Amino acid sequence: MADVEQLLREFQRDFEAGGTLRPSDVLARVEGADRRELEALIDAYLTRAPRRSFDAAAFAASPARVLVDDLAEALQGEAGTWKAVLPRLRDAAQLRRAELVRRLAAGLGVSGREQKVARYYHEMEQGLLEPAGVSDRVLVVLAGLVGTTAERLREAGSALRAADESPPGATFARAVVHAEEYAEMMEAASAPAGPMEGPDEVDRLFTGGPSA
Amino acid sequence: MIEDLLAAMRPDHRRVTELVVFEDRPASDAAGEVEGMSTDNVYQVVSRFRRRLRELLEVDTGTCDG
Repeated sequence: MADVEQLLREFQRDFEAGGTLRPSDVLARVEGADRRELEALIDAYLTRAPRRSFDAAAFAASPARVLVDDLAEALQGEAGTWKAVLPRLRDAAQLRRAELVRRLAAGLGVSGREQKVARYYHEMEQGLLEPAGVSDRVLVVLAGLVGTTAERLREAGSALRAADESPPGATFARAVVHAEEYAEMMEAASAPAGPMEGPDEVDRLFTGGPSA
Repeated sequence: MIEDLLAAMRPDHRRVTELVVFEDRPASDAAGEVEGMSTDNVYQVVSRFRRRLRELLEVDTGTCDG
């Protein structure tokens, strides 16, 4: 069984050389606690690694695309859900939630409805929103913001059920962090809270199914 | 989790951990870059960091693989 430190080094050196080694390639070589440790270390390393300037054409053909997509793939084995994947992708994209919500709303053509978009996005990050209800439009815009593909996000969302097996203590700890960030995000959302409202375009985008 | 762990460390310990673990620098380099640290100190700090990380991961997942 390979050593965690050795595998992390191998991944770092390949990444910095612009290589094609994927997180799942090294994670596959360890199991149990070693795997969890290596996954956490790679995740933290990728968050800190120098960002590459974005060029859509180059990105589509480069190892960076594989790498970013594979971050979701790597996580999927342990906790493959939006709850696990979305915060990490957002961190890797260096976007605060409030900023992501602003851009998501703009990309969906619903600027001015940030508060409702924020509520739905929060539910996505918490694994509370039914993935089948979220439209392809939302996933396309969101994927563009966090550097992956709509297909990857759809796949990650489909693993929702398997993911909710975390121990209650861990879930609670994460919920506290999310609640604090959620409060900050809601404060940052510029639109005032509306009174009782019927379904609108935002509701359709997040609950009306893939073609909404 | 790792960010919380690093944030709880002394600044000199955090720096050598970042250098060795995330910047792939030898312990001797890290010791030379941070005043008052020896190579042995760096090994000890990094070892404690990884041990603590494993403990936290075990708590987070509710498992212990030994």
